[in-house]
Amino acid sequence: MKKIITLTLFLAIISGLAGATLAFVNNMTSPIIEERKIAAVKATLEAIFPGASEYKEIAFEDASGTVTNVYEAVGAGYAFNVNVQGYKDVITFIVGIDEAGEIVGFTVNYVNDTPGLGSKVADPEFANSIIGSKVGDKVDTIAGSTVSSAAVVKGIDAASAVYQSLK
Amino acid sequence: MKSLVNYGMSLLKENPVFGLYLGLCSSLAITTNLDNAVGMGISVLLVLTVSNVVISLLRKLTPDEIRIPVYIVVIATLVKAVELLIKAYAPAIDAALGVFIPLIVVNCIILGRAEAFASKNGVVSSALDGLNMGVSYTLSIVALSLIRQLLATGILNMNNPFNDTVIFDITIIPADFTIPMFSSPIGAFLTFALLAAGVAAINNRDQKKVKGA
Repeated sequence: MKKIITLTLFLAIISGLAGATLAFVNNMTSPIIEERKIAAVKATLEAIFPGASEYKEIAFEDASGTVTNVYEAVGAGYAFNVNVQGYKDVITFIVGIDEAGEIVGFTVNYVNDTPGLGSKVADPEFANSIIGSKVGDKVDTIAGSTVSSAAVVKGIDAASAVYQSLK
Repeated sequence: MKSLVNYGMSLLKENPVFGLYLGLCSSLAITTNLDNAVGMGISVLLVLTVSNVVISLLRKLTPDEIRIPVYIVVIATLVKAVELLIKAYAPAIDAALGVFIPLIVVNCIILGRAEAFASKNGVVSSALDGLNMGVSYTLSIVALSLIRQLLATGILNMNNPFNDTVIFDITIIPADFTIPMFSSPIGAFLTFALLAAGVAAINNRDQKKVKGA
């Protein structure tokens, strides 16, 4: 009985120290990681809507819960930051829809799925198959990365729904 | 002095990748270019050295029954810390290596050295052992990636992962004569098999010499 308590306590102390170490590192790195994410969004918005005079974040309603942020490129269109569950981790991407309802931009910001399979959703081929289609069009998934690409397609549909509610 | 001699020997004899066939999953998967190999090698080197030091420090306190869970907690913590640091300071490596960074936790070189060396030796020699194993792991995957990148693309290049500037970029084989197969998994296996056979041949020759004397 005494033995098991010693063992439990030792492992608990080690885990506690590990937790404290990680909290420290996380504290140190999370502001930098956040900053990098925001910087990435701004560059993406400028790439999708180069002519817009102003970019601002706007309020929206999303029934599916996958659209996290909506940015308005004033006079040009809307960009939707979407988080969907991929094969292993979330996939974060931005889809830009212009005033006429055409998808004009698609950029994957974060994908942590299997390199060579799920990671294909970040390839230019997939982006090219999406860009140019209209809101409500069917987007094909990628053979070999069905789970990841189907998740992205579902996210695009959610963004289209939000777009229609904004109109 | 003995550490130095051991160091030279272990590069070939106890080479974790080509001698002991440890940590092959990531070695085969990420060695498509030099950037990945160097990033992965240095991450493993860091985790391996620090985990060896910590486990060596804890070796007298750790109860025998729960030593493996303790090692896993130590290693997982270090890997997560390295992952966060890479995300913050070297996003290019994070983007290229993705899931293989957290998978360092299950790289058997690290747990192997914890169990076989750090749990039985002092802090300084454990740190040296970690550095030594880390360097030979890094050299092995750099060798793999050099061959694969050269044959598959004909270009050897390297970028600074902290600010994305190009360190060097040389075209050696014209694009018409490259073998793209080497960037796919089959190329990884072929390159690995050839290098492992070469290392085995050198080791066998040395053993025969010892027997003859």
